[in-house]
Amino acid sequence: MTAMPAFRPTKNLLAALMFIVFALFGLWLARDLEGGGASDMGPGYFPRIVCIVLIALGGTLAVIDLMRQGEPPEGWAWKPMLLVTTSAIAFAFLLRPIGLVGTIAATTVLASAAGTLLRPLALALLVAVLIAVNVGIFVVALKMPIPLWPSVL
Amino acid sequence: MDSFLDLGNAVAGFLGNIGIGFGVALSWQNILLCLLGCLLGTMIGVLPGIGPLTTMAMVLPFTFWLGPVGAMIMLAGVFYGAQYGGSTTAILVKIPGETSSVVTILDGHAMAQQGRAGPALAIAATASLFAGSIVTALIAAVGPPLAAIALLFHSADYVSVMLLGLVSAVVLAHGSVLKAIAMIVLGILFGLVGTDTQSGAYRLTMGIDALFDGLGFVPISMGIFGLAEIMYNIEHQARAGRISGTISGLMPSIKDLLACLPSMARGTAVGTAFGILPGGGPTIAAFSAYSLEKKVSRTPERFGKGAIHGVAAPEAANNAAAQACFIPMLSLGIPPNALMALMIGALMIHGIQPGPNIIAKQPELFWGLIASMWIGNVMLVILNLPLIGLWVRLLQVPYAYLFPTILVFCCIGTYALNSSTSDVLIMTAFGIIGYIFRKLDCEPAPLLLGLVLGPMLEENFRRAMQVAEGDWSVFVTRPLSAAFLAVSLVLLIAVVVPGIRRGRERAFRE
Repeated sequence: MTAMPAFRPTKNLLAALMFIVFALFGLWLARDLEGGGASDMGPGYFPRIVCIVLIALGGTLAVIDLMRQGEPPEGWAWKPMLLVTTSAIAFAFLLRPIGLVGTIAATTVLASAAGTLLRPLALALLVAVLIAVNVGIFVVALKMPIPLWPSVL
Repeated sequence: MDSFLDLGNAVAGFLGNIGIGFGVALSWQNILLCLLGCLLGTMIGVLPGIGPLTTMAMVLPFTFWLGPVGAMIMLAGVFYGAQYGGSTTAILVKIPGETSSVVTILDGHAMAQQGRAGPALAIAATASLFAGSIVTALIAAVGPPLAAIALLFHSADYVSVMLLGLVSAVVLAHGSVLKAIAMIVLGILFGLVGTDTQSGAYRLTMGIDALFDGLGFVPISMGIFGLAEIMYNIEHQARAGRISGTISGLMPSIKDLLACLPSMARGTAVGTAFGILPGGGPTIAAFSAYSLEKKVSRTPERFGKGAIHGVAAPEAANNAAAQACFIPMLSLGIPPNALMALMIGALMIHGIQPGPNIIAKQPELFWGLIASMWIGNVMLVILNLPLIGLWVRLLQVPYAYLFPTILVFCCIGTYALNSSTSDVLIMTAFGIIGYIFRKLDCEPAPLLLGLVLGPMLEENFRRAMQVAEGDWSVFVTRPLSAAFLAVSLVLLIAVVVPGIRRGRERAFRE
């Protein structure tokens, strides 16, 4: 472990940084867009105004926060964040290849691992109910063209 | 004499419109949707860890199949149903389903502990119905003339009134005003992604095909209010409720009801004012109604110890304010809060451009929605009282079952809207972004306002500047626009001035 850093950024400072990073990224992405004049705005005019305003707001927030020391951010819970994210990504990538039934099962199990894990039987029951409900709503009632099973079968 | 005739005509027109509304709302399909929305809303209001924003975001993709009228009716049902559910949990388990039911805890929960949960629940429902009915009538009366005025707006006026709307929404946001404004601007920035409607240029898309049509409203709101909420709630282990007191004798006595009538009327008046006035909202309305009630009461010492007036007034006020915020949404196309932004998002999914034209161009939508709000309020009272036992049992559903369910619905709902797996990935990205927001105390609701208003703001801004030939002073030389800007400025200054700010913080700390 490294020694405690002498400077701990506060919530507001990090928030200010976030706004500024988003705005700078926006400016960079809009770099090739034609600005045009105030009477004849091109596609790049308004985005630039928005980004500049956002930078100004972020800057003000940072300055105010440096003047009166704010709260440091609370800890970051990696496990729920990563597992929830993974299960949503799994949904996106599994749906077309393996179909709705398998995808819901995988998503549910992965998501469930993010919190207090259910007992196997309870989990199986939850998966079954979710599959039944979603197939009922989307495939039977709304007639969406979602594959149910892997296409290889 | 002429003006008398005009009044007669206006009343006749009003009644005719109400007739259209009930004709629409009483079709079996719309009654069913209203019922479904109310039930879903109440259920969600009761369940810990899911707020009305999350629910409405989750229902949004389904409403795509309903047609605009049905979609709005169902979403509105979810919205006011959640208010009912929120007060149910506030009274029974001391968990406010929403910030606006926080005050209800004070006396409602005290009543429950004294074994008078039944009357507390019943009076809350009756007060909400009372307020809901009055404000629904008000929307019907005020909406059309307001929209008629708004139709006279030039682009410059419209830009300023949107700014006023955004500033108002921010003034009462939780925490830092500066951050809330920055979140709005960030929302506007996200709203710019995609094809520029005027030049056809791709903007901020990073060359990704899936972004050419822009960042969808559904994936963003599902990510921020669905996934991020789940991550945050798992971390903070959503509290399981414990019910205090047995629920018996549901009906309040006639004596209680009569005694509460003036409180309900005062609550409704306060709530309506805060709902319409710039900067208001259900939460502040409920707090103000409660303190007013305490001031006028002959027995202020009973407040906080189970005074039935302390339940009736804030419940009337928060419902009145919640419904009154439909007025700017329906007549001007400007959402005063994130929930209304979601409603506007729903309209846009159906290709309806929100704005002052809605009432004239979509009379069935406007009047049908209003009539359904009346019907829905009545349904809630009739259905909820017998169903309270069921809601109480729902409260005991552990979060371990809930969050995988929410997650699956978010994924499949987002996918279903455009049959697009990239939308699911966009949602996931916004889940992470939303989690960062939560960690940095950045209230995400204003972002939705920016996201919805951004495109309208840009369009009107460009047109206004074009008409004015690039002269920025157009915003202060047009009297209407100047007035809106002046009010916005006054509001902003009012928030920054320390005295007022302290009062505002006190209201939220409770």
